[in-house]
Amino acid sequence: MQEITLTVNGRAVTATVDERTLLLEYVRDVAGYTGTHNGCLEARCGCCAVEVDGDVVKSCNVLALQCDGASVTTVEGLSPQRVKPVQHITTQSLAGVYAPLDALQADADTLHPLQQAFHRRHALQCGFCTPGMLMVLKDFLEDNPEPTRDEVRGAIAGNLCRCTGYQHIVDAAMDAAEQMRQDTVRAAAAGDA
Amino acid sequence: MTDILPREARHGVRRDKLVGTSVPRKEDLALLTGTARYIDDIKLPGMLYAKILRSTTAHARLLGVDTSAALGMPGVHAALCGADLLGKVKPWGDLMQDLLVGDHFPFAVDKILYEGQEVAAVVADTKYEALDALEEIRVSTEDLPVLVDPEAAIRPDAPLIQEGINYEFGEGNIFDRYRVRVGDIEAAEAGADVVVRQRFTSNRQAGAALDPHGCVASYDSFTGVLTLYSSTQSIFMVRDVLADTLQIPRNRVRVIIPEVGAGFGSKAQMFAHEVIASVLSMQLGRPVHLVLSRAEIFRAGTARNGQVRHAELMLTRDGVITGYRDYVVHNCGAMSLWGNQVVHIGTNVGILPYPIPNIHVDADIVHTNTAPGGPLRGFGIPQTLWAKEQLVDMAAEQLGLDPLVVRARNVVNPETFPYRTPMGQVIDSTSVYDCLHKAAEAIEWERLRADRPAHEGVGLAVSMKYTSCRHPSFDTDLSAVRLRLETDGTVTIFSSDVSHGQSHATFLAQIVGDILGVGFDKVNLAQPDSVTSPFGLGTFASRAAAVLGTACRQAAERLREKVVTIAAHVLEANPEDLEASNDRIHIKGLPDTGLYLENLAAYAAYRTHQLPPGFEPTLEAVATYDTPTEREAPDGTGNLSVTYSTAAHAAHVRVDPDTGRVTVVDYAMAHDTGVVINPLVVEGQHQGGFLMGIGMALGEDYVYDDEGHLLTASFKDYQAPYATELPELTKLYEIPAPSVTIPGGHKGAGESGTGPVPAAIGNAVYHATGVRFTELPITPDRMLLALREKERRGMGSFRYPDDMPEFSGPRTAEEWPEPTGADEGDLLL
Amino acid sequence: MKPFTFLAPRGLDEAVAMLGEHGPDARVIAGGQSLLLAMKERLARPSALVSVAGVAGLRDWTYSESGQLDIGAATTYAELAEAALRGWHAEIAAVAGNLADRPVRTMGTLGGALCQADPRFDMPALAVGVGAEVDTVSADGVRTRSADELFRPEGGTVLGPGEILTRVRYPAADAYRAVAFEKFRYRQFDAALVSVVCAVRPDGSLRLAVGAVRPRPVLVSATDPAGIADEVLPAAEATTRLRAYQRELIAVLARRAIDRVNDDARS
Repeated sequence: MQEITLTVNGRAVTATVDERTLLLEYVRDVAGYTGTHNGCLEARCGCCAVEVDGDVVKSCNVLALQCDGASVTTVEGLSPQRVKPVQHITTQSLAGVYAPLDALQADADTLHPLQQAFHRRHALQCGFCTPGMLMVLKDFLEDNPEPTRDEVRGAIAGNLCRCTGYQHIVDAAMDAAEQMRQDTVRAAAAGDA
Repeated sequence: MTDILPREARHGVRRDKLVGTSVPRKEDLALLTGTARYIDDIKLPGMLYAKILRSTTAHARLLGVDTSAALGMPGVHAALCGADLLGKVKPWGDLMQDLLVGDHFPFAVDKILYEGQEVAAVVADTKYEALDALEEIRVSTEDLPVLVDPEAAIRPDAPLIQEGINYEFGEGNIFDRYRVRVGDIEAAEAGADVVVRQRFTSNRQAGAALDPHGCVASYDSFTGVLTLYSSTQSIFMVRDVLADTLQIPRNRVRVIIPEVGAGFGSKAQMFAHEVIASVLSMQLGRPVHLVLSRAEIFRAGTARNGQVRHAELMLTRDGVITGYRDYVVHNCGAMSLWGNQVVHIGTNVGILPYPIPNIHVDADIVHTNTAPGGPLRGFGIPQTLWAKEQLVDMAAEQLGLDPLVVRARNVVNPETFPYRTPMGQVIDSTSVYDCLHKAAEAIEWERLRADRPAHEGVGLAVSMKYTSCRHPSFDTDLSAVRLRLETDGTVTIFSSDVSHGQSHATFLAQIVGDILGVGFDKVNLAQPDSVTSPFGLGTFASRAAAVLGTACRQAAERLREKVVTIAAHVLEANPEDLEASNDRIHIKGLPDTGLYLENLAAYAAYRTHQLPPGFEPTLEAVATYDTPTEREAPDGTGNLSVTYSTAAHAAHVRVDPDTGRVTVVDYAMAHDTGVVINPLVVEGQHQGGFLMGIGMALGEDYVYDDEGHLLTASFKDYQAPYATELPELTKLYEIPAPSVTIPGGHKGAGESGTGPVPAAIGNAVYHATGVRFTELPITPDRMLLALREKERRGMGSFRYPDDMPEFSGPRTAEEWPEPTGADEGDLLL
Repeated sequence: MKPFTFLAPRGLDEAVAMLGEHGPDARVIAGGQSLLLAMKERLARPSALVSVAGVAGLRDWTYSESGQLDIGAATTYAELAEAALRGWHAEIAAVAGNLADRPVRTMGTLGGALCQADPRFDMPALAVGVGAEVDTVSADGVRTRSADELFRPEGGTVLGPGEILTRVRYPAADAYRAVAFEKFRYRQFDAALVSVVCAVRPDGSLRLAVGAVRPRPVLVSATDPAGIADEVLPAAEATTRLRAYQRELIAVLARRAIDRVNDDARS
C-alpha cells in the first residue's frame, strides 16, 4: 500500500492504495467520480478516457501511482459547477436527471461546448461511451481547432461506440470546434478590451 | 441531415405538436455530465465483490471443483460451485414462464459445454481479493471431443453435447426444428424459368454493448426481499425467471435498473451471474456486486446465431419470384434461451418484402460447444437477407435483368391495404417500392451500373422488418404504461420497458405532452422497477415507439378524459368544447383560458368535494397494449408483427486490389418508419443499425480454434468498427407510410438499419470484383486471396470460399445434405 | 494483476540499484501501455515495477555532433509525433503519430515499444529498418547495441533483467536520402498485420526490413517485392489464410515503400 495524492477536478484527493489500483479505479472508487467508465479494461474502448496534466489517457491502462502528484480532469470536470462526487448511490440517484438541458439554459455556460453540441446533435444514445468521447475530443480540439471530419474520426480512432454509427458524434465535434473557435475569438477580444 | 429544432421549441415553449419534432433528449444531461449511474457505479453499504471462475476448455467432464483453498484467502467471504447449488436452485431454460427446457444452471455441474461457462464463484471484500482467490480454486476435468462446426454437430456419430435433456422436437445435437410450408414448392420449381441455388454461411456477432453485463444483488434478510439491480433490457424476464429459479414468490424479488448502456438484444434474458450474485447475497445477507469483464461477456454472453443456408430462389423469365426453398443449419451454441426463435422470426419476416407464393424451409437448430446463441439487432433477418438478397442479384444476372428491376417487380406493392402475404404477414401500409427507388437513385445506381470506375461497384438490398413480435415461446406482445398527474401538474410515466439508448424519457414525453397539453419539461419517466412499474415485456424487437408508445398514448387519453371531466364540471362547460394544451384544460381555441392541470390535480387530491359526483378521486391512468398479432401456425405462417417498417439500402464500395480492403464510399438508406416521433432520434437509430450491419459485413466474427477457444474475445481481436472504419452517413431518407394498425402510425426503427447491410455490401462487392461472397465477414484477407485465385484461374466470376482450392464444403447443390429428421408425414403440421 | 511493489527512482543509478535489489522479477515501466495490459490479464506478474517516467534525461531528443538523432527512451509517441525532425527523420515522427490512438500515444514510449518487442509494433521495425542503435545501462555499466542485435530471433529482447534501455540513436539525416514506413492494419487502431521499412542510402541502394511477420523485425537482402516476400515468408510456409495474406501484403507494402522512397529521393 502506498499513499498518493492526485488532484481530481481541482480537488486534492489523498489515499493509501493498493499498488494495483488503476487510475480508473482511483477516480471512480476513491475520488467518487463514476462518470469515467470501464468498458473493456484493455485500453480498446476509450470509455475511461481522462486528462492527466492536460493530456488525454485511457485511465484503465495507467496506474494511479504513475499519476502521483498529477492533476486529473474527468468528464465531471468539464462542467464543474454542476457536479458533486457521489459516495453512496441510492435508488433515487439511479433515475438519472431527466431534465432537458435547455430547461437549464440559465447556466448552460457551465457546460462545455462539446457537451452542448452532443446534446444538440443527438451524438449519444445509451451514453456509456460519451464521457470518453468528450474527453478525447476536448484534448483533440484544443490542439486542432480547425479539424476536418476525417481528422475528427482519426482522433476517436480508439473510442468505440456501438449505438450511434459515429455520424452524429462527428457532427457534434465539428459544431463544438466552431463554438470553441468563436469562444476563443471572443475571449481574445475581451482580453484586448 | 435533420434540422435542429428552433431554440424556442427547445425551451419548453409549446409548439403545435411535439410528435414529429427533433426535441433534444431529456436523458442527455445526466449522461453528458457523468452523473448517470450504470450498474458498475452502484455502491451499497457493506457491499462485497464477486467474481466468476469460468471454464478454459470447451467440452469436458467436470470431475471436481475444490474451493477450500480459495475460502482461506484474505478477504474472502464465500465460494460457490455447481455441486453447492444442486437441488437448491432450479434449472431454467425459457424466457419468462414455461420452464420447458432446464438446460441452464448457474454453474457447470458434471459437464462443461463451452469455453467461458461458469464453474465457480468467489465473493470478497474487494475485486482484487476475489480475483486472487479464484486462482486458488482447483478444477479437475477430462476433455471431450469439441464440436465447433454446426454441420459437424449434426452428424450421427457426433459426440452429444447436452446429454441430460430429452428434447421434444429433436434428437442428438439437434434440439429443435423449424419448418415453413407455403404453397407448392415442387410445382414452383417445375414451373420456374430459372432457379438459383447457393449455400451461404453467416457469422456470429456480439452485441458488445459497452456497458458490461452485471448486477448488484441485495437481500434483506428481515423482509425476505431480494433486490436486484441489473443491466438488463427486461425487468420482468429477469424477475420471473430469477424468482422461479430461487423458488421464492415473485413479489419478494425486486428488479431495478440503473442506466443501461445498450444491449442490442444481448441483455434480453436472465443470466447465470444474476443467480450467482443473488444466492451469495442471500447466503451472506450483504449486497453483492458482480460485473462481468469484457472477455467474460464475449465468451458467455449471447451472440448472433451463425447459420448455414442452402437457399434456392425460383423465378419466371421476367423476374417474378415464384418460390423460395431453404435448408438452414442454425447454430445456437451450447445452450440458448432465444436462439431457436431467431430462425423462426428471422425467416418468417426475412422473406419480406417479397410476397412469395411458394416457400419451403427446413431448419435444424443445433448445439455446438460455443457461446450461447441469441438475439442481436435484426433477430435472424440479416442472416436470411444475406442469402436471399444475394440470390436475387444472382438471378437477375442469369436473367439479364437489372437487380433494381427484379426487386421492383417483386416488392410487396398491393393496390389495397391491409394485404396478407402468402407467409401470413398483414401489411397495413408500406412505401417499400418508393424506398427502393430512392435508395438506388441516391447513389446514382443507373450511372454506376452502366459505367463503374475500376474496382468499384454498387449493390442493393431491401427488407421489411418487424415492429413488434409475438414470439413462438410466449403468446404475448404487450407493453404497459401508468401515468400519474402529480399534484403540481407535472406528470410521471411508469413503465417496465427499459430504455437503454432508445430515448424513452424523451419520446414518451412527446406523446404525453401532445395529448395532455402538458409541457415537455414537466413530464418525467420513472426508472423501471418491478415493484412499481406495470407489467410489460421489455425493450426489444423494435417495439418501443409503436407498442409502448401506444400504451402511453392510450393512458394519456384516459388521463385526459379524467381531467377534462373535472374541468367541465368546474367550468360548467361541455367536455366536447374543451381541449388540452398550454398546461391547461381550456375552451377550444382559447388557450389562455381554462384551468391549469395543477389546479385540476389539486381537486382530485386535496379538494375532492369539488369533483363531479361519483368521480373516482384519482389522476392515475394505466393502459396495456397487446398487439393484434398472431401466433405462428404449424406451417410457419402467421402475422407475427403488428406492422412492418422498410429499409432499402444501396451501397457503393471500392475494393483495394492490392490489399483486399473493402471501403464503403457511399451509402444510401431509404426507410419507412411510419410516423416518426423524433426524427433526430430515428436517424440515430438507423445510423446505429448500419454500424451493426457493416460490422457483420466486414469484420465482426466469433473465431474459434478447433478446441473451441474463442480467439476474438477482446476488442483487440474482435473487429468492431471505429469511426475510422465508417463512411459518412448523410443519405438517409424517410418515406413514411403510417401504420394504420398502430394508433399513432409509428413503426419500429431500432433494427431496420441492420438487416440489408451485409447483402447490399455483398452485392456491391460482386459488382466491383466479380467475387460473390457466400461467407461472412468479407475481411480484407479473404477478399484479396479470392481476387488472386480468381485471377490465377482466369475466372469471370468467382465464389468465396466455394471456389477456393482448400474449400471442403459442397460446391454444388447436388452435394447438399438433406434436412435431417422425419418425413413430411411425421411433421406436426 | 498480482500484487507488486512500485518504485519511482529519480535517477538512473537509483533505478539500476532498485532493479538489482528486487531481482529478476522486477520490471521497468515507462508508459506501461503494453505491460499493464499483460499484467491485467495476469500474463505478466512482476514482483516490482521500477518507473522510469520520473528519471531525468530520458525524455528528450537531440542531434549529436555527428548528426545522429538521439532520443531518450521514455519519450512518448505524442512528444515524438510533435518533434520538428529534419529530413528522413520526419518519418519517425510520422510513424509515432500514426499508431495506436491519441490517449495511448500520450503514455506510450519509444523505449517501451522496443523493450516490449511486439513484432506487430511499428517502432521495432523502424529501428531495425534504419539501423538504429540502443544504449542500455545496468550494474555492469553502459552498453550499446544495434537495434538488430536487440531482438531475439524467437521474440523478445536480449536485455538482461537489470538492464535499462536509455537512448535510441538513429543514423544521421544524411545517412539516407529517404525512408518510407508502410503498414497494413485492419482498423486504424490496430497494430500492423505487416509493416515494411525501406531506406535509400546515398548511393541509391536500398535497405529493407519487414515487421509483424516473424517473431522479430527482419532485415532482408532482396530488393524486389516478390523476392522480399519469398525471403520473409516463403510460399511453403504460407499455408494458413492469414499467412497467405501476409505474404501478399509483404509484396504490396514493399512495392509501396520502394516507390515512395524513390519518389522522395528524387524530389
